[in-house]
Amino acid sequence: MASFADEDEEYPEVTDEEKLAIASQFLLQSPPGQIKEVLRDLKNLCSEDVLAEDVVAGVFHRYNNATQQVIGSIVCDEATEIDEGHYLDPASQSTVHVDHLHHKVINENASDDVPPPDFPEEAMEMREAVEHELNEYIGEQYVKGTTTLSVVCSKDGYELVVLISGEKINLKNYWSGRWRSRFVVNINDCSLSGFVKINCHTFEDGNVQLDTSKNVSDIKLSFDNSASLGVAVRKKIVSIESKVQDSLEDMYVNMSQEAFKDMRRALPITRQKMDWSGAQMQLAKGFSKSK
Amino acid sequence: MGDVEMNSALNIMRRMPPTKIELNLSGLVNLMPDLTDELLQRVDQPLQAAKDPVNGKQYLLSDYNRDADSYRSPWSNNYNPELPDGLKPSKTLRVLEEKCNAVFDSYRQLYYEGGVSSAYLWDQDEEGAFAGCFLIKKEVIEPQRKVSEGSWDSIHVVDVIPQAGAKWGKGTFEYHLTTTVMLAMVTSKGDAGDVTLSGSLTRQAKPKTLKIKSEDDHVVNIGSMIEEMEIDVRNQMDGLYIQKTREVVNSIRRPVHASDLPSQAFVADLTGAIKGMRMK
Repeated sequence: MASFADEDEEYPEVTDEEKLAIASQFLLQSPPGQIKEVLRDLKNLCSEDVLAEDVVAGVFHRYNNATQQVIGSIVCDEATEIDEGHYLDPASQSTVHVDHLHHKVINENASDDVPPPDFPEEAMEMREAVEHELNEYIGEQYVKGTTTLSVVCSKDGYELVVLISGEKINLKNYWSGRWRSRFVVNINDCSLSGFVKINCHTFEDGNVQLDTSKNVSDIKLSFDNSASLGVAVRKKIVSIESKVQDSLEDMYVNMSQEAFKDMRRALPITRQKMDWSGAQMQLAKGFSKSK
Repeated sequence: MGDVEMNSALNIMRRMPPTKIELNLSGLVNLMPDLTDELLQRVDQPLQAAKDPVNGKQYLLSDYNRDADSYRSPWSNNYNPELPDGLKPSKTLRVLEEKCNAVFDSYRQLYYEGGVSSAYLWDQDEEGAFAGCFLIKKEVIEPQRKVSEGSWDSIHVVDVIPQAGAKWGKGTFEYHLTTTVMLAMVTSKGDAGDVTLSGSLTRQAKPKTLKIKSEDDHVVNIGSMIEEMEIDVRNQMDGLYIQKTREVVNSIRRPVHASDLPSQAFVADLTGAIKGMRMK
């Protein structure tokens, strides 16, 4: 048993707190649609004390906000969040009560319990114009049933936050993917900033992941009323998102010829496989020569 | 009990980003200190290289050439840091190991045009039997054409099992091969921003039974098997897995290629023309 004692010394037992921190890191890194699966496996590695339900719910809350999860009609984000369990559905201007851990709506109209915030009328008008234009765009460009839009006013009314959350999950066939964009429209500066992030996972007998992140900042918008703001925002977002996808398409097309070759050629430059016997014989000659 | 935990640990690794294997593996080890040795054995990690102080040549570090905290170089057969009683292959096997390293080195140059390779062999109990590990690491650091940064790691573990009547270097042998390839490509040149494609695939080859006349034939047999396998894995990685991520992206947002898609007007014209032909 002496060797076991040695091992314990080498790998000291970590505290429950440290275990929770590690488990949280695993949960937060979960690929699209798989946080429940990761939790299920973590439960085999950590005791119930470490993964207490309320603590895990807190980690799911972080994950849902960080990845713009769609629960019912709302998109989780700090901009839509009223409190931990309550989010604003800006389209209906109502409060939705959600359960982060089980990814479901508890009450789709909880406005009486937690009233939605009030926004200046002018900001609401601009919000609606942007929402209208972007809804049209999403209907045209995104595959039906995958993607949800949320356009929300910031509390001071000087910003609009655009959230686009698309996800397609097919774990039975070992793949899942997520496309999410987040843009902030600054009304005073007439500018737009934000990002487009994509994650894809294919894992049949393997683990392959695509992870992209495009940031844009301070893109100028020209508009003189709500309607033209909507058009201007749409135009910029269409351009940014299309460039992201076009660039990826280029990458995929060029991958086999270009990028992969930098790593490993498909065949040697002679276009012929290695002559192992020949190499072996040459080596034997070299060996005898040097002796 | 250990099995359930081990399975869960491996399941988690299959879902985590392939670019963070070391970090996540150390997380699992902290959660499950009792499974440390098994985890380190079962989860392949990106390879590290070191320099052999005797000849300045690079070699790769793995569990297969490690004894205590030292690693054996395949070029000088020395452990670094020095380890007087470090485990080494028998004299006969060391001769074969040297040949494997030399030939595998030419294989690496042909396909990788760079990188580092190492082959390690170890003796097995049965007469004529041995096992080996063939490693390649290629890193692209300088900004080349498309890949700004990337790495390819191949880990091939081979078992050579003598069949009835076989002796060292003569007779019929069965070859078993398990391969893991880890790949990461990072680019930030295009409009898609920072793009990381990473993956790890593990495959087992169908065992081959082959007759040999001399021990040198082992090098040829193992080498050809590894070559076949790497071609296969590379094709799968590129053609299947990576292209699948493309399909997944496009199943959320439709790509638009003005040049690829016929315009609405053109389609209408075409439909009209076909209808007109039918009318006649």
